[in-house]
This record gives sequence, structure tokens and C-alpha cells, in this order.
Amino acid sequence: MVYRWIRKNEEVQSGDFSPVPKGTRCSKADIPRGASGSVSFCNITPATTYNDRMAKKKTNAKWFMEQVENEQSGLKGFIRMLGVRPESVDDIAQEAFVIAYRKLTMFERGTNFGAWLRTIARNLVRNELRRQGRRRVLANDVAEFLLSRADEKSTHPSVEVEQAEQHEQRVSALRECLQKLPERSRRLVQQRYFEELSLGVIAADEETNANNVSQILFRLRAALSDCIQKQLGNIGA
Amino acid sequence: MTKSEKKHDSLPHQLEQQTDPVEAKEIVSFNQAMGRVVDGEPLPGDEQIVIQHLRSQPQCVQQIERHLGIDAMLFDEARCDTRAFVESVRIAIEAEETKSVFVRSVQEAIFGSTFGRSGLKCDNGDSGTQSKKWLGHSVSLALACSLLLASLIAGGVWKAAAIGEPVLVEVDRVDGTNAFAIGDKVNLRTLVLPEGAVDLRLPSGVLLECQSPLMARFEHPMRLHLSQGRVDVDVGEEGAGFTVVTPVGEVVDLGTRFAVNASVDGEVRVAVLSGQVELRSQKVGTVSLVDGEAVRLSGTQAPRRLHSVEIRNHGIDHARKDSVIHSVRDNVELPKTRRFYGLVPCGMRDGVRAYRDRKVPRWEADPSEDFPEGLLGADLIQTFQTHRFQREFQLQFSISQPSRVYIFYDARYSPPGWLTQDFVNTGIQIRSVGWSTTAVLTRGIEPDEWGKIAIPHDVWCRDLVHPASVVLGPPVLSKQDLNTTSEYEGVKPSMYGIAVQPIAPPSRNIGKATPERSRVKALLVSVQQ
Repeated sequence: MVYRWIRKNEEVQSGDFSPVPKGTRCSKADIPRGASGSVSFCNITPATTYNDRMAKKKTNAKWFMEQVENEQSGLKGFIRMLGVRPESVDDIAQEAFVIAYRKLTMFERGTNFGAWLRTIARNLVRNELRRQGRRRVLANDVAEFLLSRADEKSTHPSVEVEQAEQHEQRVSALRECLQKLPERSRRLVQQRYFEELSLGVIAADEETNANNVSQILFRLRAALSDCIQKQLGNIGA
Repeated sequence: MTKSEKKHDSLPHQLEQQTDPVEAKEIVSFNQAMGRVVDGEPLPGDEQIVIQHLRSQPQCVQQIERHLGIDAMLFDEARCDTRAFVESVRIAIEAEETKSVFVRSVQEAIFGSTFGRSGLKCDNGDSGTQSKKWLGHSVSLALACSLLLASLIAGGVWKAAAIGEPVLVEVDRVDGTNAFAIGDKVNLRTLVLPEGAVDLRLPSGVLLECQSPLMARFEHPMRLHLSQGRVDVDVGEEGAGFTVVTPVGEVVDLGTRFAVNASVDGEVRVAVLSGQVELRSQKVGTVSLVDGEAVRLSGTQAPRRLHSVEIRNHGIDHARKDSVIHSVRDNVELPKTRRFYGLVPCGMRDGVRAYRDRKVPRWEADPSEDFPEGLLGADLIQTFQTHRFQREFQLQFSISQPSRVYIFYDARYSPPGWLTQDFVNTGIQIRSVGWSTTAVLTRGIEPDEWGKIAIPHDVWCRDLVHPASVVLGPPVLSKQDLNTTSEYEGVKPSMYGIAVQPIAPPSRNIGKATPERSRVKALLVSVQQ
């Protein structure tokens, strides 16, 4: 059953509403803009039934879960680029989705859901940086720098949107590029990203030191980035 | 990676233009520091170097974003668990909704339907109103606490200790810490163990084997909150239901012995050493684990298999604290496989458990011999008998220092190629003892003079002079053996055992007949015919 808040002295159109006793709980979502503390009671709109509301909620939930599926990969990439540790990226992405769901009524359908999610994620990372432990970010100063840069970028939403739209293409280009890697590089990718081994363990395996492994990974990422750019260029051509 | 590739991708193109040697050196320094920061393992000073460059050189910003972007895509590609993530979000949302409904209903039950609505009312900022509001909240809060307490006590949910009484524990064993002495009876509410290990026995008979660094607190005698560190729990007969609460969920005992390890990064590892436990997590639901299974749990991911678990070994005093074996894993990809390899540091000795999935069989010396000295105190991997049926089986592990790797292969069958190629038969045998007389595996073996059924195993070995990765194949029937038996009868070699003895510090050579000599350097394998 849905209630609607009305102002204290608002004139109620006869037939449109059935007054209910003072103190009846009303859905927060149904409070009209401008209704403040002066509201004292709410009315039932006869046309809106419990079943209608549940059906709407179900539709919302279904739509939202579709968004989770579509946006999760891009959002995780965005969070990682704010300097969040890889092992904490999923956690923060999940928190962002839960908050988004909680505040779904604030989202205007038809606008960019991904951009809205990224705003929530930026705020979550900002909160993380304010915390004492800050275990979920790579390095405090670097993360703060990246966050402020992301804030700046958000003032030019078209760039962010373009990047997000390119994400799928970039992922498929990455897959192509991984296939082209020489055996040792592929093994390193396997060890680092698929088996999540530390630099030290990989170093022991490869009979080298952790610093060397880090440098090889650095070159590997640079090579993959170049390869992806090339692939995207080919697609665009 | 080839030299040409290295040259090609050694520096990003934007930065290759730089020719000034000082600048070039700085760029190399930035690249190295940034690489380590992105990898999450920075050295002291790396962050400073990176932030300075980020502030002064825009191309460095692009570069770190480029690396983080690729890094994120690679991790995402590796995890490939979109459905699991979506599912975790769905569960989290459902849990949140359920929680809010519950909290609201409790609030309403206690305070009536107007509770929590004050925020909607107009607040004119009047101090009198404010103070009345706060007074009202205090009264409400006190009332809520009293009601909650009364309801909990009346419900018998918590015992007295749950509301602040410390838990009485008795110290059973102490190792490497002066914080406790054996026999102490201590009232504990919070346990912080920066060094060493201690075994604590609770009034219920539950034994907690705590390893540093550890931070935990008791909620009550049957519920321990573990923030960091490893606790092995042996619940005994009276302690069923003992629960360890971790940052990612609860581990509820169902009559067992289990280990929980909470790491600083938020990952929790749970291993069941005997019996069964139930994992309850808001994010991943309820998962049951039985003897020999272990999982890694993190905030949002579904439980993942934990390949190996270190088994504590009280039997032998040893100088080495850590195992030289790391990253034990196999290629068995059965659905929901959660079996872990037992890794027993310095655990090789007469009578040690041989297999993870067989409780009885033990490694023992031949009755007429002493246990081979070279094997004593080696790190042991407890393997799985069931893996002998995996035709493509591969077991991989790494060693962190120069070591001698031993394989105990079923002596009744011809050795497979992967064994003869890399390993040497020492001529020594040990036995896996304690098999059932009806086991297919031991068909044809007569009980020994003490009535035990034992499978003889040849001891093979190989020296590795550098830290390395070792890959072992399956126990297979050779063509020669296939002529005399049939794989379809279930007659296959018993699963092999593995032990690793570090070469340094010096230890003794295997076999009594071999003269003793220093092993500061890697040795050639001594072969006895």
C-alpha cells in the first residue's frame, strides 16, 4: 500500500485521496519535493495497490541486476585506477552497487547509470582515504592524487563515458593480445593474475628477484597496452 | 620474453624521446617505483618518487593510469566470475533489505511506529528542543539496551560471559612467548599474541592453538572473534557449535578440528582437519566443508579452493620455523573440489600420516631398519590416494631454497618416465602401513609378522640447487605392468608421497651405508644398488 505525504494545510481533492490517521508511515520515496517537517499525515492513493508496488519493485530489481552485470567490469577497472588494491576492488564495487540500489530512487532513468556509479565509487574511495587503516589503497598519496584527477575528469563526463563505452572493445582486444604473448610472458601473467602469486614467489619460480619480476610485469603491461591501442586502431580504421 | 621484445616495450613511447641522461635515469627510477606501487609491493621511498613525478609530469599520470587500467583488466579477466560477483551483489542487497526490515520492526516493537521519524520533522534549532531530543534518545537507548539484554538472557542465547565477563582459559602449551606459562589459568577477553604460539583450553574442553601474530576476542566461551592470525580449533566432545567469527563470515563447528587464518588483507582461510564445519557468510551464504577441505574467503568472491594447508607438528623439535615448500597445487579441476594438501614442516618421521584422504596409513621404516636419517625432519606433503586415478594428474610445488626432493613410489610397479628421467632411486625403501586387508590397492600383499598390511615404496630423490618449481606426473602402470594386471580392476600403483629436505643448513645423507659429509653445497645423489 502506498501513502503519499501531503502538506499540513494542503487542500485534499475529494475523491482523489482517502485520509488516513496521523502518524501512519509513508514511503519516503513518495514524499514530494518541498514537503518538509510541516507534513503531518499522508493519504492513500486508491489506484496504487500493494501488488502494483511489488511488481514495480521487482521490475526495478531486475533492471538493476542487469545494470550490475553490464557495468561491473568497467566499474572495477575504474576503482582500480583510483589506486585501490586489486584484492579490495571487488569489495568496493559491491559496496557501490549496494549503495546505488539503496538510493535508486535518486537516479533518473535515461541518464548515465555508469557515471552515477562511478560517482558513488569515488566517494567510497574518498571515505577509505579518510580512514585510519587505509588498507584498501595502494599508497595514500598516489591514491589521493588519482582520486583528485578522477574528480577533475568527472567535470568532463564525455571523456569518462567514451572510455566506459570502449571498455568492452578493450577487453576483447586484450584477449587477442594475450594470445600473442611469448610463452614466458604468458606464464608470468598466469602466475601473477590468475594464480595471484606474490612477486617473491614468482621470483623464486623464475630464478630471479622480486624487483626483476616487477620490471618484467611493467614491460608486459606496457606491451599489452600498446597492443590494445593497435587493435583498437585497426578496428577503427 | 625475448631481448627484442624487452627493447620494444621497455619504455613507453612518450618517454623514449628523452635523451638527457639525468632525465633518463629519473624515468627509469620512476618506472621501477611505479611498477612496484602498481604491483602492491612498493619499497620505502617508491611512493615519494611516484608522487613527485605525477605532480610534475603529465605523461607520468597517463602512464600510471595505463598500467592500472591494464592491471585491472588482467585481474578481471583472470577472475572471470561475473556471475559470482553479480550473485554476491544480489545477496548483499537482499541481506541489507532483510536487515533494515528487521531493525525497523524491532524499533517499532519497542518504541512504536513513530520511532525514527523525528528526522523528518522540522528542527528549528532551538537548544531546548535539542536537549529534549537528546534526552529522549538517551532514554530510548537505555530502554532499548535493557530490553535487548533482558530478551537475550531470557532467551538463553548468551551465557554470562557474553555480556562482558572474561572467559577462563587454561594454558596447555607455550612456544616462543613469555606472555603465558604452562598451567596458567587466565581470564581472557581479548587475546593479542605478537610472537610465538600458545594452546588455550576453554572450560568446554575446546582447545585453541593460537599462532602469532594473532588478534582475537571472546564474545563468550563458545564464540571467538578472530581479526588476524591463525587459530586451530579442536572442539572435543563438549564443544560442538563453537564458532569463530571472521571479517567475512562465521565458521561454525559441527564436531571437528579445524583451522581458521585471517590475514591482514581481509582474506580468511578455513581448513577442516577432521569432521565438518559450516561457513556462514552474509555475502556467500552457507557452505559446508568436510575433513580434508579448505577454502579461501574474501569479501565478495565465492569460496575458492585453498590448495595446501600447513599442518602443525608438535612431535619434533626443529630449528626451522617455515616450510621450504610453497604453492602446492594440482591440475585436478573437479567441480567444487576443495581438498587441500597437508604441508607438514619438518614433519617426516616414523609413523607420520601419509595421505590427506586416508586417516590410517602412516609412513614407517622397514621393520628391520631404522627410519632413513636423511628423511628425518624433512618437510612432508600429504597427498591424496584418489589422485592415482587421474590419468593427466600433475602436482606442482615450489621450493624456496636449495633442497633435496624425495618421492616415495610404489615399489611393486615399474616407475613412470617422469620419475626415472629426473629422479634417482636411492635403493632405500619405506612403507605405507595400516591398510585394510580388503583394500583393492593391497591385493596380494600378505600381513607382516605384526599383522600389518604394508605397501613398500622406493625412495627416489633429486637435488635442486636453486629455488625452483617442481612438477610431478601421475602414478601410472607401465606397459610391462599392464601385461600382468588391468587398470580397470582398480589395480594401480598407490599414490606417491613427497618430502623435501633443505640442503642448507647441512644435514646428513640418506642411508646409513653412505658416508657422512657436509652438505653446504648441493650434493650429487648417492645411489645404492
